[in-house]
Amino acid sequence: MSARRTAARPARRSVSLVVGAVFVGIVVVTAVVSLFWLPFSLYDTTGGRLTPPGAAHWLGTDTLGRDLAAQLLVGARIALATGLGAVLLGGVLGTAIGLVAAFARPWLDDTLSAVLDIVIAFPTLLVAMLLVAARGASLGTAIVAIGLVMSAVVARIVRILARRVLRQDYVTAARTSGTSWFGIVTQHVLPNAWPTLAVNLALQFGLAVLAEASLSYLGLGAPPPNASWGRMLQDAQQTAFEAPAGVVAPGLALVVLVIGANLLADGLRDVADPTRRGRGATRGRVSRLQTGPVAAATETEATDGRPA
Amino acid sequence: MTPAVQVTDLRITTADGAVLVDGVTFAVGDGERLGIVGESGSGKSLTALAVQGLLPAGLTATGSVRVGDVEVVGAPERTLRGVRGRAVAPVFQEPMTALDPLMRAGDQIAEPLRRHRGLRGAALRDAVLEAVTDVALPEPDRVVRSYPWELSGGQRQRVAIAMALACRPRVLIADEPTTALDVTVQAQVLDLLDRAVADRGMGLLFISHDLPVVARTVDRVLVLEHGRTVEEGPVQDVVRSPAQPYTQRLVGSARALQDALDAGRKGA
Amino acid sequence: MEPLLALDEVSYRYPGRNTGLALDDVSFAVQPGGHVGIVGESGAGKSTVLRLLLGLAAPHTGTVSFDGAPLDLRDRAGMRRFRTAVQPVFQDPYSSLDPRQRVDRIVGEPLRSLAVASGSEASDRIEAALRDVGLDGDAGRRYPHEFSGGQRQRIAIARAVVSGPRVLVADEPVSALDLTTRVAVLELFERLAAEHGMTIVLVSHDLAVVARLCASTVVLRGGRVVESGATRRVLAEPETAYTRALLDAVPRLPV
Repeated sequence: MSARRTAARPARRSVSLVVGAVFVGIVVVTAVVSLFWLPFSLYDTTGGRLTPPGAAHWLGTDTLGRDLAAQLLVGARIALATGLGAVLLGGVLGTAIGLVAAFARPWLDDTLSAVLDIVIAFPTLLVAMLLVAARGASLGTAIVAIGLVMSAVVARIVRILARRVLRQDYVTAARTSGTSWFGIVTQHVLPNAWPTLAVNLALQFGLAVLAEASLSYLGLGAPPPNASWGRMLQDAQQTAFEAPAGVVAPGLALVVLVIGANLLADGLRDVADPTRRGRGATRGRVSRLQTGPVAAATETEATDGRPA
Repeated sequence: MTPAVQVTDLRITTADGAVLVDGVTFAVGDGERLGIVGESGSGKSLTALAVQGLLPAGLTATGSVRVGDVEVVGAPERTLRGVRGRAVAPVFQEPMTALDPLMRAGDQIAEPLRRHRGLRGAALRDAVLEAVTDVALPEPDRVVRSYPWELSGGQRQRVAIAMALACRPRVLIADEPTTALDVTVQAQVLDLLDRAVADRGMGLLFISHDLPVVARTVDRVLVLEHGRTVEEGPVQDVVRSPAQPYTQRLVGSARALQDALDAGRKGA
Repeated sequence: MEPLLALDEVSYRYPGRNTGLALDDVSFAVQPGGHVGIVGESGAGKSTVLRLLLGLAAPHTGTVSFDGAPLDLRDRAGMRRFRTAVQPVFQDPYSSLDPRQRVDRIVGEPLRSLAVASGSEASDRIEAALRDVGLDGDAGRRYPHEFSGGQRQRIAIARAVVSGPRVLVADEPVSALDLTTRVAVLELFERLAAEHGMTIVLVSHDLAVVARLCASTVVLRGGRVVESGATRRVLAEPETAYTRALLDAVPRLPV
């Protein structure tokens, strides 16, 4: 008896994935380049106040005569570092807490969930400001603040995903196969939770970048001469009409990176969920509906052997 | 007199062109009972959905489905709403998802009564109680006030049947109505369906993979395989002397299991 | 002869204040070679019996014994022996296989976790198990979603037999399958049991399925055993009205 293949790996690509990857890629390349080369030093104030974009200064200069393009490049580094750092912290911490909640007895689970809800209710900026007041403004503090709040969101998601997996028969089968709980988490829970989690983390990345920009805009991010895009916006605010490049450049950069991250998240979801794309998409969707009358209409190729 | 449901050459295809139902034709008249038997992938449930204009998005139906005088294929939603409930009413497999978990059973039965028979106030309340008693639910007052999760599977299915009957449809469409029920409860619900259909002179379209259940409930049967009609005829004939190999396999499997039970009973 | 598996005056209650006894004074034994059918409708306690038989929970009172000795869930070495010898097959072929793992990895899980075999010996056993259940040897490289419901159930059976168990505990193994597939899978159970010397414990609401496979039957209702004995006797001369009602309720084909 040979296996029957459904639409195994459809050829159609996800547009969102490609566009998102390109946008994010541009920013990544910019950040990498900035590690080795900058058009001008950040400390170089010889450009003349608010010089318009030209051959020497591609985007012009700011009120202190510093090159805007150089700041933009370095800002890319900061945006990415924050995004990745916060996602790493939030992701790891959040997953750990989420797993604990998923396995916990009801009273512990309820307590944890309540705590998480409270943390989520706090605006990220508020937490950040509290931390900054305590420890002084720095990139590290910003990353920790954003990461901590993110971990609560991730924990909620991981808790639900883990519980869904733990209810499945294949987890019971793993237990009767002698697999330890640790083995069940690493071999079954995490791999099955990962696709949904990854999409969410991509979204959180975009949110982290925006959060850092907001913090820097408020002066709570890394201190000067840090070149965060948020701080650039703050600086250029007063002279926005005189020298629009100062506002447009960092603003556009933020837009590209955050939208790129969101499209990437969309694209990842398309790729991770085979029932949403190309051939077999409709049939896949029909078969995935588990409830009500449409469940009875699951007429996909691979469901022979299942009544109705 | 036009048959209550007339399906002619029904084809259902997916957006990518896969054919799920291929040229199915049948009719259900008033008081007639037709069964559709098939395994998974046979297209039987999709056919039932097509008759009510409830095909999921992405699937297209061609051919003709006439419910009374109304053509369902390609009809706008407004026309379909008039057909659903009044001309055809469904009973599905999973009562827990067919019933709104947030509404009391009484309110759910009241809804079609209000919409299709225009009842209000005291008349509506009486009609709801009558509907609940009709489906042999014990303690009608308690049931009317209960939420679905407070009722057993069999009770929920009876509520779903009451909702379907409340509209006084010409044809009742039952898709695996007893598959999720215990065998003793199944017997009771099937008896209930029998009676309800006979008392009201309704047509019955009964869809199931369970051959013995279908044989017990309908007069004529259609056997589907991969979207095509393989065999049709009076159910007694089809079951006693299946003509097509697929039907023979189906009947054979059902008999094999039944024989095991009988061998035991005879103490052989 | 010591029974392979036995429940002795077992009671079980689920946590929570108002839940009654899920099982009340349940006793039965599984002898080597004597397939046992456990019949009951919903709420009868079938799932609880299953959990106890599979060592996933401990009874509140009474004992669950394996090879004559009471089962101690905390005895790791003992549990490893137990799990190697007692394996399950579940009802839903769609949730009993991890969708993100390849079939060979799924089937090989007991071998890895119970340290029964590794490396090439494991691969050989996996391939043999897949062939035993009627699937191609190369099915191992595919993923569950590429198979039909009946085939997935076969994969689940392959996983259950790969460790060479003595008892197969099957929970409604064919209820989710088409009629024609049901008979084929039941025949597969019979063949495997005979070839590998396994005893089957079959939990089902479907009397016909139990009648087809099991020499003895236990009828559960409301957490208690209402009737038990040789299947032939239970079917031919049921002692309780409930069993009679169950038998009468089964819809029959016209002869």
